[in-house]
Amino acid sequence: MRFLFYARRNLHPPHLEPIRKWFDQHLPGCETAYTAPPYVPASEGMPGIGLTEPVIQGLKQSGASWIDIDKAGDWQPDATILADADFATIHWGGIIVNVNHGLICKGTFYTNSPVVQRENRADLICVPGSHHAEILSRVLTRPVIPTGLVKFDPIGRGEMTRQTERTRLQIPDSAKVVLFAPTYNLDLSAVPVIKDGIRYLAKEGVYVIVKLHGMSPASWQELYKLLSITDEKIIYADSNDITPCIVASDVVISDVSSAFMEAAALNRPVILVNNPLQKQFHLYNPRDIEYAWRDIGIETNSLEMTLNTTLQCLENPTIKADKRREYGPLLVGQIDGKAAERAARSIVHFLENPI
Amino acid sequence: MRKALFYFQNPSHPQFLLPVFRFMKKLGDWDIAFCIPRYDPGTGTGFPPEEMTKIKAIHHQFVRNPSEWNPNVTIVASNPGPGVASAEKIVNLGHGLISKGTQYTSRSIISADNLIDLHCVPGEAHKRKLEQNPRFHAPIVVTGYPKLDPLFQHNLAPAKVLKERMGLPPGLPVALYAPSHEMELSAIPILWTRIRNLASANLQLLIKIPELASEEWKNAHKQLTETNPNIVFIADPDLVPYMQMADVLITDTNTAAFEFVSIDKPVVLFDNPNRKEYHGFHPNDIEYSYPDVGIHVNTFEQLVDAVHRSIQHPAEFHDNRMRIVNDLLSYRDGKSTQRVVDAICDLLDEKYRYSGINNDKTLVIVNCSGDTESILTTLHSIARDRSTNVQVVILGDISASIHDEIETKSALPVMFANSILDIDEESLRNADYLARIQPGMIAYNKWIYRLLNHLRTDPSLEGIAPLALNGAPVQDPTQRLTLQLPHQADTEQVDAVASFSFAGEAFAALSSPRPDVWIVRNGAQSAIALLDIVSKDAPFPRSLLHLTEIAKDVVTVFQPLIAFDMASDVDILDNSQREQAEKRINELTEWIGCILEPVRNRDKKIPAEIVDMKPATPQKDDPHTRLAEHYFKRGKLDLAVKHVEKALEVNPDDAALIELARKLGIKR
Repeated sequence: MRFLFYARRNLHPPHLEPIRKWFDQHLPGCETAYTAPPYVPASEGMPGIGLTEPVIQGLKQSGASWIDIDKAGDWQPDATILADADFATIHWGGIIVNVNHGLICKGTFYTNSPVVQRENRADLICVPGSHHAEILSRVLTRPVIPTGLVKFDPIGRGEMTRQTERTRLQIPDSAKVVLFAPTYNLDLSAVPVIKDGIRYLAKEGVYVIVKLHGMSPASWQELYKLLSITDEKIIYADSNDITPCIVASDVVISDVSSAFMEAAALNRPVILVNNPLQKQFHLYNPRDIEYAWRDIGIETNSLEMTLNTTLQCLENPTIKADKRREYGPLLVGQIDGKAAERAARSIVHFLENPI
Repeated sequence: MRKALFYFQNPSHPQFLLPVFRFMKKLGDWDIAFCIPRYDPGTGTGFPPEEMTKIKAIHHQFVRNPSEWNPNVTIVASNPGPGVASAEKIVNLGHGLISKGTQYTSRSIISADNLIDLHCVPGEAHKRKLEQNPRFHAPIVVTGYPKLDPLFQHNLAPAKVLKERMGLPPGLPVALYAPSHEMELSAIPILWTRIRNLASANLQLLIKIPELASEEWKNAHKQLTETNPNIVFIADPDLVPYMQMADVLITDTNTAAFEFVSIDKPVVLFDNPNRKEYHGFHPNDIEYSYPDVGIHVNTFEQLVDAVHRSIQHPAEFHDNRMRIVNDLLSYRDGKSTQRVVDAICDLLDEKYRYSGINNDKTLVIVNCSGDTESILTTLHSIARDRSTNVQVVILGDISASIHDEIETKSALPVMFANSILDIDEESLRNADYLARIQPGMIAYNKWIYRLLNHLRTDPSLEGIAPLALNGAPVQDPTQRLTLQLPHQADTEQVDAVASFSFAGEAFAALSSPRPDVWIVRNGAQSAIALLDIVSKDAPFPRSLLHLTEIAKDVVTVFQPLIAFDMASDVDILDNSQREQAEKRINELTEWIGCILEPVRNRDKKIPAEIVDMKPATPQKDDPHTRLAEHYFKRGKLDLAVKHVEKALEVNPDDAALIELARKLGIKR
């Protein structure tokens, strides 16, 4: 069997690579390869497309084969596997599988809006949790399978731990760590509320990691980069994957970002900053997970409230633990290191029994 | 010789305008030109190169600047865009039989149509809808629907001949699939290319994807012709001949449904479950007022059954169709085009006039902030607006020579005042409305009158502002769009807002930044604000300036200071670097802090509640077919056989599958 992994953006390989590796290791005779559209950097407020050269090289060093997009059809994959609804450029044969890449809706995923119907173009849809599967099964005609969150597999296997990630980030094991992980939308993000105030949390024995969304405005990126060079206890993380930062942290400050769901599923207390314009967001829907499930964390509306709540959570990390236990499995399924395997087996099974 | 200009805003318009063009050309006493706005795929205006080639083959005379050509009448198929808004006489023929929230509707968006001088509508139903909308004032005449004249004149070749010309089997029934292009209305996002399974050795499928649909949709459906000989992709923008040869129409919320109904043929209506999410959805609009004209379906299996039922029993909905047809198409005699041309001539002969003129007094304030020529230009523009009782004040401290020049050359009498306090108190008190226009602005024809009509008919409004003047937007359109749209708006949203924003925008109070041309009800809060603004000679409130900055931040790449962009590798900062960094942090913090203020003023845009859906029924189409073809191509014949057999269980009549089974030696 031939499996083609189509990565449209840098943030997709973490969701695809574990599946690719499972195929290579457990399916004798199968062939796998990556492809991506030609790289176009972000500009004019639009996110970039394609993979940057370091990401491509990283994939190749991990043993992945590479096929140029214009040769993908000639390769005749049995299945093309994506991490987003990027169906437009896939004109070749075989089935299409979307394994997705996030936990929240933003009016576009895991909800009932017109644009979600595009997901029907996939033959098979893999989602992280049973909650996502339940929503999509109601609005789509294609089969939807909950597999768990693929990028949590290294955690489930014990390969990614608090200690490994702190070592990588050069944070002492004894320190308390606050992760600030806001989204990029003007009317949803915690940034306009917190601004540079996050620096007040960095003090003796407390580190702050700032992980911005890849599409954040350059002014925000510059601000937090500057904070990180003026205070060594503030770390500006510019990797593509937020999960290692969550694993290294004790408390997470976010807004409506997928990060707070991941953090809660990993039993980190979450502080949810409400942007005053949140309800004016054009795709705001109170029933979407990121709004309906905010009781998984503590909501705040100001810098002062956020700072105080963060300190409380650092002192008492069991706050809201019951809700995290209740919602976590619904969001990310089992964290047993086998999500990629479940996704891979589902794809093989579907190829053999397509209905 | 009278001059007529046909304005095609996008490639869907020729089908509505060309019948009138051809009729006028045949008369021989019209000088005719075409005008097409610059192609902008982002907003959906203009023609892509291949469509441009087609339209240029029809007529040779194209006009880039309509006002220079100065036509007697400009004929459009939707509300006129900035390019022709200032034309002397504008006639709108509409673009279809239904509303889709933009025409023949009770929604306020219809006010954009007030820029026209005559609206030719297909039926009494459309006239009634417009008359019921208090925001619409232009004259209306029921002319019928020129697009379908060839069908009613019976001079189109019979279906049998048309089929022969296309090489279609004469005895085979024909299903015409003509979905909409809007994501929330179209059958395409639900059926996608599974529609191909409808075509078989027993049924010919014609597919017409609208000109405004995405290239992705068009290409995906074009490719279907390669997989099945019983599928034909229609590239011709004119659907009429295909309606003539079709036995049944499959569509969704589309004007084609009612066109087909008018020729008494069966329709199958695919209901996109998201249609209530469509920005133009309104349950009282025409498309939702006549639900019983065909079979409604929402799955592929239902669609297949409905198509076969319609072919076997074409008269099933005959009574229902006939019940509504007179209301929707009041004339079906093939003479609608002639009636449109007659109406245009009547308009030019001053037979149709706007109603509702009264003696309300408007005080127009022109800030003396531009040069003398700009002020005179503006005064000339106001002078053209003879239908209103206008008094003009030139506000500002000007020299005696400029004063004299304006007084001498102005096309209408003006007052001069150094400040608001110097304006004659009686003039201020007696004015029913206050207007403001920036020097240099040239308003479209009768702009004051047309804007006043909006205020007169809607007492809840304090003010009204045009969004485009004489071809040039009043403001940078991005500012307007930023107000109304989130910064992540997709193309469809931008297109929707841009299309609707040409003529007039109402503001209820001081909730949004003001444009630079506006009229307010004297005594209202907005009037106080207007006087406040003009007295300070501030062209824009501060909030709008903020908004412009935000728009820049969102749409352009922010330029970080190079020193600190590079400094991320620096471990230890010296005092001077630290000071510089702190200064920059403060700047950025202040910048980010400003963001919330103007955005806070945006209108709330909470979408309608999500409509609960029933669990989706699995589609009959399955990936077996695709995998069978795929493995056949790869030479894995055992797998191909397996999937063909499975696929044939689901679709036993699929011609492509039968052919593949034959190639694989499968005996059935």
